[in-house]
Amino acid sequence: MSLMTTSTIWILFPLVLSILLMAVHRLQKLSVWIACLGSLFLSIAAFVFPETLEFSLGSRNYIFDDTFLIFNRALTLTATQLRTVAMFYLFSFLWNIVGARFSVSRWFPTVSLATTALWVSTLAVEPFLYAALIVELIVLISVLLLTPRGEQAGSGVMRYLVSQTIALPFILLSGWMVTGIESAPSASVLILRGTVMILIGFSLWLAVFPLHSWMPMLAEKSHPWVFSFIFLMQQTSLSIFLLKVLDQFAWLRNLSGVFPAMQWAGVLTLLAGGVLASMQTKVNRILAYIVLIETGYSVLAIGLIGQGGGEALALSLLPRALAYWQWSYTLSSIHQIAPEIDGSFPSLRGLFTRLPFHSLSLIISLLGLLGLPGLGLFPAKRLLWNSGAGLTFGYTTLLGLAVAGMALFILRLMHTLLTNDPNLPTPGLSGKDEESLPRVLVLFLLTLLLLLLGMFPHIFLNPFLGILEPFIHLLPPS
Amino acid sequence: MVPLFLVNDGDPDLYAGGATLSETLRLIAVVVLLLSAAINLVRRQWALNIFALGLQYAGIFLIILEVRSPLLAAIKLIVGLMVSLMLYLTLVSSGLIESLVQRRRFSSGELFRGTIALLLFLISFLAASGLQESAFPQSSQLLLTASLGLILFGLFQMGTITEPLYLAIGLLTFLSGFELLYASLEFSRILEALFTAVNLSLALVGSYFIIKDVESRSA
Repeated sequence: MSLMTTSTIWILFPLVLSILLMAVHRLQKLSVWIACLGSLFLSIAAFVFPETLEFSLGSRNYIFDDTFLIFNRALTLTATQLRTVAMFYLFSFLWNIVGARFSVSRWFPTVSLATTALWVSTLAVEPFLYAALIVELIVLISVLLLTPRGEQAGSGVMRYLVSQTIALPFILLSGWMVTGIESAPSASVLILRGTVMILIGFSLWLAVFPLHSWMPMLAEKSHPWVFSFIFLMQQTSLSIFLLKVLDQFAWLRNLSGVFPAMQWAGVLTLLAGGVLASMQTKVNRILAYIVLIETGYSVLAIGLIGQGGGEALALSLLPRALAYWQWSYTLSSIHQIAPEIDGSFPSLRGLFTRLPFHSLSLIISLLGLLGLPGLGLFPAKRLLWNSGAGLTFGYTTLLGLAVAGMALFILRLMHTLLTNDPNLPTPGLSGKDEESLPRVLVLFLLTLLLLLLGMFPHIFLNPFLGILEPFIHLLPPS
Repeated sequence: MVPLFLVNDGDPDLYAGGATLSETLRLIAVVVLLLSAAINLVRRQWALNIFALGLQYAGIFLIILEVRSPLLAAIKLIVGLMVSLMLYLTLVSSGLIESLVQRRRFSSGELFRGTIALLLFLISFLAASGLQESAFPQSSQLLLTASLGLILFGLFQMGTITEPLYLAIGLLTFLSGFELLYASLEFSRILEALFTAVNLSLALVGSYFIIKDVESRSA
């Protein structure tokens, strides 16, 4: 068993590191620094690692293998997958670097590093459907962070656990059911069963409408910083995993109706997210609807894979992560500055006069997620809107309604933030005291970054198209 | 003897089991297994539930012998007993455990769940042959009965309960049922290792939820 493999660096090493972090989790600063530096190192290493998987250091030449054998099975991490790995560890770095500022669990650095390594392993394990069990392990580890301190586990986290566990048999059984199906192309009943099982499994994992009911409950009770990290990773990894499934199973991608079914699932999910968001009066729950809408866009992108959906998915990954980061950072910062704000609309009334930069940041991050021109997600969403509308008129109407729903929520939030409670005295502009310069700088830099991503996508986002390289069957290189 | 048609991971040392138990003994094991799951669904008496969970894993051990060597089957039994012990110790340390022999009258909820359990029991026995014909011809009917029963009991438990202990028991029961089914379809050491890790993590999460529940109540 050779240890000079890519899996050793990006799966085993971070797992060992997270086990070591368990020992020092009480020393929060130290564990945060180790997690940050570890994630940053792994992200940069994955980004610059040579495609030949060999490099020279001094007089010595190091050759890495892309396959790590364990129990007669393999963990295969090819050079083309390293872009995705770099992105995962970048997310882990971004969430760890300021995580300690907020009162998240002391286990956050440990768990975030371990779950990132496990998400990478879901892309590497062969047979790849065994990843279902790794996803279950990630869920079980994640619930430790998702339950708030000093409170009993709510029904949201329990339902999350249940729905993710129920998905497991669907994915594993589908893999067994269609073993050797290529040699029996006439076995259409088996193909249909396998397809239905895979789609149900992914629907449960991704909380596609109408299987999302646990998500707002969970978002309301969990810390926004933790929630955004866990569901960003889950959403991104499972979208890429779904691409892998479609790439590996010719019978699945060649079955008529699979891609239209995904398109409808995506459109209905983002419609549900948009409509439900429009009626919300608690900003804590909005993160769930944001995740739901973005899941809808991801599923729609995969459904439109032949019409540029793959590119749209790849272009959306970084701006989406930054928008989640900005929203959860702003919300966590508001909770920290003003603990009396519980996230309900009445408690946010007139916040603009008190925390103007935070209020602006909330609105900008939502506008970014809406797909406003000039902001990071616009190029990807424009691609999807055009491709979707070009297929059928039904999509145009439903996409329009979904966007309108989200826009309505933004308008209501703006109205709430700008309007003072008539029963209370008008607060003065006390922002100078409460919004510290570093916090304002972070918000400003992030807004600037989102603007740059939107203005110059060819510079900042095109490298992310490399994420699609491993899927040579689904997206044959032109 | 039960026909075997197992996908395995190519290990020449693999001994896939041999249906060494007589049919009657296996039938008794299935009935005991499903009764244990039914007790967990119906009764709300923690000590009894943990005992039934342990008994459930003993039943799984006897049934899985059909498709696994005694050594591999024993791993499932040991993991199951460890899981039960972990939950038991959590309950003991929280001071909430009651005596195993304590007598309590049946509540209306328990009577309702008892009726449901009877229904699930019947469904498991009646649907197994159809399931075997249509989807899993290589699995024996008794194994499918046990597996289907555990999955149904687990699903029902998960769907109706919000108490951490019963959620953990529901999840473990559901997963056990699926493990039993999957064991008759495919063998892989890494899969066995991952299932073991998932079961132990589930017990840890269950214990964590119970502790949090107790802490929040006392606060």
